Amino acid sequence: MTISMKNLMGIVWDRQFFHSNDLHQCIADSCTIDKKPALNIVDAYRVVKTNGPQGRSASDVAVLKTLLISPDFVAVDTAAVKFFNQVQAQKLEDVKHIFNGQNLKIGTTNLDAINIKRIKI
Amino acid sequence: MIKFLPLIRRMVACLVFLFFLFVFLDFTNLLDKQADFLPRVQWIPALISMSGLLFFLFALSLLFGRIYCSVLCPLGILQDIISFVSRKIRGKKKSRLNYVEPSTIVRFSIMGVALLTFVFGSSLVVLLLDPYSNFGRIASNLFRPLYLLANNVIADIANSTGNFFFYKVEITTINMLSVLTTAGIFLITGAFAWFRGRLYCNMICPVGSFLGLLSHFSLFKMVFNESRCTHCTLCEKKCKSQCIDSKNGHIDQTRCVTCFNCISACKNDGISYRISLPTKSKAVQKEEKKSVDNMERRRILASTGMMLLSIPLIRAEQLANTSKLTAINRQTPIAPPGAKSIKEFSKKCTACQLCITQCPSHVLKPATMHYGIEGIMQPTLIYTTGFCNFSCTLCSTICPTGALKPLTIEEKKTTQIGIAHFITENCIVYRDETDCGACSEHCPTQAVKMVDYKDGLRIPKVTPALCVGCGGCEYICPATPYKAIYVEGNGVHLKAEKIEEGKQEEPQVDNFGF
Repeated sequence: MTISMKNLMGIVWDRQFFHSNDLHQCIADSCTIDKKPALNIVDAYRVVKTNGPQGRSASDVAVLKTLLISPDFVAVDTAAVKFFNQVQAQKLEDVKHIFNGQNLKIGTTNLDAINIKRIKI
Repeated sequence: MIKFLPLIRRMVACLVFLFFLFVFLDFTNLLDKQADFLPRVQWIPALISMSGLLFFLFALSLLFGRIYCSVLCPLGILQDIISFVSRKIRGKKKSRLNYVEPSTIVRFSIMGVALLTFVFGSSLVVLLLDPYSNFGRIASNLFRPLYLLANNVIADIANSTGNFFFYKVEITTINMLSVLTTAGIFLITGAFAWFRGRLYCNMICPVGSFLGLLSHFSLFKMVFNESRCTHCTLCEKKCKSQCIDSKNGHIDQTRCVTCFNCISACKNDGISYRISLPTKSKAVQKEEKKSVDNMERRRILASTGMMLLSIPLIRAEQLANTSKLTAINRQTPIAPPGAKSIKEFSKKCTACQLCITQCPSHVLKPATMHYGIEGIMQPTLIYTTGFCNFSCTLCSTICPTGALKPLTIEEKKTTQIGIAHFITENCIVYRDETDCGACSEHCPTQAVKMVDYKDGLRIPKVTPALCVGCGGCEYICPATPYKAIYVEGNGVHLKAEKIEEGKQEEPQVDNFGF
């Protein structure tokens, strides 16, 4: 799942190293960078649900018209996976970098412990 | 006016030469699809592709003689430049030339071998002798690396002073076999030009020999004005083809490359370039008699050549040094898109390496023994430093010999040049039991898809019918020392299936889910 944590992979030159050395741990590690994003905005307006990241046609995309915003990227990724799970089955446990991130104390997966505003327009 | 002809000739030749240099040295893809403009106006590419430009080339030769050799052939111009430098360094006296008898047997034997081997389906001799392709290889194998190196040094200096107009480039298309072979050919042609002017063109070059035959019938020729010539040998000493016999007032038209040097050298208008209809001189009649014997000679030479060509290709066995992993043993090389079939492609490609220098992804590289001995230095796809861009058709459209047939972008997207093969035991997901999926991410056709494996892990699976063989998966695969996915070439290129496009969904999701 490419959400806000994996987005930071862009700062790495040799991404093949990531792929050959426990991808999920590497993603979590890269999120421990000193200069963390102040705010993570997950644009879930149009979401690639199958055949990612390139997709093969418009059928791979679901229009969900949703936006998730949080200063905690572990929390926002947790919320995004749970939201996505309603469109296509995706176990949170399988997105390991989220839990690796929590272990590194860069955020929390416990959404009940944080203040969430759910807004519908 | 006539005295200015050598100057005009030099100017045109310089422009042509600069264009050719630029074609083979430029790394910014500035010329893009126009890179083939002059390469197509070359005898061997035009003959192999049977293009309409042959009419132009024939007309040019039948009107003005071997003017192609003087102003259009990049190797010819390069030799003139080398002769020029030689003259400056060795001095006028030492670099003076005299008339010599033509090496008729040698030149027509070489031409015969080139022709026969080509007709019998081997391009090796043509590949090694075509002047345009030789220039292409000299420029791309010898000059280009130096050019890129110079660029990198300039870029380093410029960048350190805060100027970012220049940027560094990687030198990735080097192949030792190609460089050494080319260096050898360059040294030979260079030595010929340094000491003997255009001897290479008049003894070895098959195009030169062919044009020599054709120039018998050319309308305009260099002709002695018997009444004005004083047999002073000034023209003879200036003739880089050593084809003017001043004492006997004879010019060997088969070797004259129409450089006009003799005209400007003569102080007496003793030689002129004018309409002269073909007449059979005694020398020519004598040669015709000889040529019957030559035919026998040519046959012997050709058959020897053929025997050499049939030397079987020996492949070094790749040994796996890690017992649990599987080494990649590619059986078929990957020919560029547009090649249609390796056999047909290899027959027509003269390894000018135009496509190699122009390929924006640097995936085309000179082959060593990939296509066998006959295909040395022809382009092949090697996925170590890049992969074939899904929507790029550049190589197929600029090939001057027609070895690569032009593809449209739509055709390219379904041209299957090879098929990806997955080796489970090399894969990161299998070995380390961690997620990867880099190959699938790079696949432009969904031929490599991630499927459920175990414990939420997903592992690649190849659908061969969808694969185009672009090598994106092989290039990006992080497994070492052996890749877990590699492309096996298609001897004959096939058509890949295309997935039907579906519609975008707008599912109704009313809850937040968290």
